[in-house]
Amino acid sequence: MAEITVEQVFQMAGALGLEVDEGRARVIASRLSGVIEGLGEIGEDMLTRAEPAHEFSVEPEMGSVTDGE
Amino acid sequence: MANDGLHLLTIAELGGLIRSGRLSALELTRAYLERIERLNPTLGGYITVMGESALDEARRAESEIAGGSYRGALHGVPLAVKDIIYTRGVLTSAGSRALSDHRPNYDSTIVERLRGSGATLLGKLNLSEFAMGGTIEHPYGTPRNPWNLDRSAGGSSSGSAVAVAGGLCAGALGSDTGGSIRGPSAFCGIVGLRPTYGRVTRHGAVPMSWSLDTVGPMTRTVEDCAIVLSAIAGRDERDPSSSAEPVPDYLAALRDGARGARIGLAREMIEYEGLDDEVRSSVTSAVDQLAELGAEVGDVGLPISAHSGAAFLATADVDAAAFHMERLRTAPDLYDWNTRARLETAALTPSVVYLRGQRARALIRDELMGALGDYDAVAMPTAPTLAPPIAQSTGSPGGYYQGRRDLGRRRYTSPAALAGLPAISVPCGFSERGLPIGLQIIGRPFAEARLLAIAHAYEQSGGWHTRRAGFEG
Repeated sequence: MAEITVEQVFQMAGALGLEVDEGRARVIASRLSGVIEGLGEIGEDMLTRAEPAHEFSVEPEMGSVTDGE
Repeated sequence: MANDGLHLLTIAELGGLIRSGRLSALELTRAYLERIERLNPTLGGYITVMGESALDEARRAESEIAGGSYRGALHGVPLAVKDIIYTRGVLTSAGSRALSDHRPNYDSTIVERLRGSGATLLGKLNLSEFAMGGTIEHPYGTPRNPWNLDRSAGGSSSGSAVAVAGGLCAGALGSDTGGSIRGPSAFCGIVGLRPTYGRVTRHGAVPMSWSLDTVGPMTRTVEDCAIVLSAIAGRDERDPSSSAEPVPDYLAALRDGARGARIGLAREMIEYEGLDDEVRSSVTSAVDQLAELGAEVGDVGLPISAHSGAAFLATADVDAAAFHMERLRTAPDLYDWNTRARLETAALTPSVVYLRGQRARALIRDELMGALGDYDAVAMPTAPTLAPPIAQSTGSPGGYYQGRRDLGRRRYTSPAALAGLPAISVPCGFSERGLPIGLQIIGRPFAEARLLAIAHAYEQSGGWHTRRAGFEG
């Protein structure tokens, strides 16, 4: 996925009704790009193969951590 | 009994003295309140001190015990709780100006359980704003590490760690969404346990992330941790995520020790280039020590978990943004600069990125559960660094909570959180400059008893828990 730019931050913040100034927009763009980059380091093949974890619960027996319904 | 050294005693020791009548619960509470009054302005551990009600509770405890109604190891023992935990009629600020007049009209289940066990509640403890970490300006005072007052106590359960390490309470509760119990415990040289998700009720706790939040004990010893966990664990009808899994006898389990336990040292966490040399050395020595105690030690690969920081932020912070969205729009100036920037970052996270975080979470969980199929526990450092200077530990650009450095530190505490697994941090040494170092041990779902047994065996052999912070000069 591509980096998030400061302009995109302003656009998205405006759509959500959030007031963001230039300084914070730069930090937000950098942090958001960092998250995207960090997830990308896991590897596209693995990520697209995995079923997303939705509702989360933990069962006591090994191997029975469950997602969702 | 002389009051001078009461704050040095463990919960187990205090309980024994109180039960036998050699220590007055009321005198003990008075001694702690005197220390809080004298030292809290320096340490910044407490937001609210509940002096009057604490003395009432101590009087009641003393009277009950004298009358033969002893409730157990916490009866008459002074504890304190992180200020996200609801207390009826008492400020519950979550460390934020946004909740500066928030006085709940009910107690959280956890507070009910602590009081039910006879504990005395000394007050509400400082934290990073809304339990998120990286707060720049703490509106209720900056928590300072008792081992070095210029150093951070970590986050977000900073006040809990400061109060326990500084002898301002006998034990405390913190909360851990992505490391908020374990990190401060490591930085402040105490024991902190993140329970399995659902092991301890979250009812009446200000949320950060619904699928990650846990509440757990922070104490000076593993035995004390077992005592407090016994009091708060178990199903709560008021928290649908809490588990009905039976609560074992955690204290009895301590006798199991580490012999025969299979422990895998996480390779990627030890080889990480950002890991402080003194931390690496202390943690590997600790694992060697566990082998000497009879554990079967090997190494385990966690290549996906090494990238868990981004998955954590994409999950937990987006949950938090959903909780804060309305206030972010209408009163954003009430937030600390960094909390606000972090919440806004999360609010602007594209849904596709959030879903990629959930995919990553599933992979990390499977990887960790796979490792725990081969091993009883996985060991790694709790934090890659020593406690940073307070100025560097804030979320201001370039600080400890920024960029690659932030993702680097998160790789240590995010995996267990994302997988919902229990994890304990136990002191495993000190740097040359006298800063504490923590060993983290992660276990299978609901295997807190096993973790406590391993950690207890290590603690008793290492003796690090007997050191005391010298901030009083």
